[in-house]
Amino acid sequence: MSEIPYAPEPHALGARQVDGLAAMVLELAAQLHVERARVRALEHHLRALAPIPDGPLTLPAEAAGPRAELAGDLRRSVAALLAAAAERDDARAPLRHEMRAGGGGN
Amino acid sequence: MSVDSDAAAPETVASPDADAKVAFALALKQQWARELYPALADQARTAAPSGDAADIRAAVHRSPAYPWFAWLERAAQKLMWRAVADLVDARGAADDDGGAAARDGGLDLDPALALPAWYTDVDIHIQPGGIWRTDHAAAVYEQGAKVVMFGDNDDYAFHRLFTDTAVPDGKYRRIVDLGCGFGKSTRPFKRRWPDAEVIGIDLSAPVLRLAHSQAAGSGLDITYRQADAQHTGLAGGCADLVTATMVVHELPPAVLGAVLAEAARLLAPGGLLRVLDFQPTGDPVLDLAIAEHGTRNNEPYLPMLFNTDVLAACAGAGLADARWVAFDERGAGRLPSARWPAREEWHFPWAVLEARKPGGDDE
Repeated sequence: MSEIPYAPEPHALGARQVDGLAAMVLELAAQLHVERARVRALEHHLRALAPIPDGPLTLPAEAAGPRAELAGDLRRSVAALLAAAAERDDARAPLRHEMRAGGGGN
Repeated sequence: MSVDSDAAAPETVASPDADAKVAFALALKQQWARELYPALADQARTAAPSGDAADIRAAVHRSPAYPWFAWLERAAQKLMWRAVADLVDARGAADDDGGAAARDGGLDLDPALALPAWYTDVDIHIQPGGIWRTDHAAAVYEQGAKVVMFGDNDDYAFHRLFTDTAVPDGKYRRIVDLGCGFGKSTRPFKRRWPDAEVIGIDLSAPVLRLAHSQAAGSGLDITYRQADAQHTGLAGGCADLVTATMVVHELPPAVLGAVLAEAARLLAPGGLLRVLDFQPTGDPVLDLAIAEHGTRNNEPYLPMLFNTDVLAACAGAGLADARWVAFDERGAGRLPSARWPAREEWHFPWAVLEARKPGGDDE
């Protein structure tokens, strides 16, 4: 059986960069929904516990753990956004480099 | 009718973030199918009122919705795989059966099997690395398959419907399911015919390990065998029923012909072939969208299936009475003819290929 020839990644919006930018917007929207779900859950639980103080809620300086978690969230967020820019220009396997490591296999 | 199902027990939410992202991917695909596609179809039909297929094709490609429709189809699929991989990581689902031996009870793997280039060159469905490199990939595939079906097949109702409506009552001693993947198609057969020996065949060891694990967890005695469906290694005439679900559109035409020949070889006289797959419906907008889905979703042989005379291939393989009939996954299942109900939304054009091996008690 002959191999399937290389073909460039299709660009339905007209150019690689335009398609990539649109993919980043989509990724942002997905991340926004993750935050939306978190906020809804937080509100649900807080409402059962105590009144929420007026004004913006911020992490205090001494909250090192939550701050580190927030920094990690930010790194993962930006990495996921930039994944759209790092796709391979090979329509046969544009995401193959993103395959997660693991055992098993053929 | 079979009554048991693969309905999953409520799952503990291991990662609400990963769940939320998968939910977003699912919502995106649902809106794409239920809102954007009808808008595209309306624009095309308005611009090409004759309904001529060539006119419709040009009108689809000129319509304002088309670039977004085409782009979203592929972009949503990529986003889905990333989200689903995170979900599998969060649940640790890939660790369930990775240690299964090559020859465990009901699992027969062939470490020497050489995978064909047509199978390995393309990441089918755009899944990173395909479904055969790691056990993680098999778990990702299983989760992704639910989103791909728009969340309507989470308990594999489509597969039960195929088993219940496309296969006639009868006594089946051995059922061979070609391209069984992670086994979702094999379990309904075993539940409906518990006395039958059910054998699932696939190229990928990871999906077979997952299938084996899930069948064992459900208390189902099913054999999973790693082999090429063109050359299963099973004895000729050993099966009363040979099936394949959602797999023949992934095969190059020459391979499809060889798989049909192998199916015919496996069938005993009077045995039945039943295949669940896709066929053109006669709706020029949908048929074009499905053919292009093959390209946009890295299923390069799907458009070729639509141009392949499968019935002639069946006849050439020695099968009789071959025909395609429509299948409605929403509840009716197998329909009596190749006429599909009109639908507004984008959907898979399900069809059942039926054929039989001549001979047996009915002749």
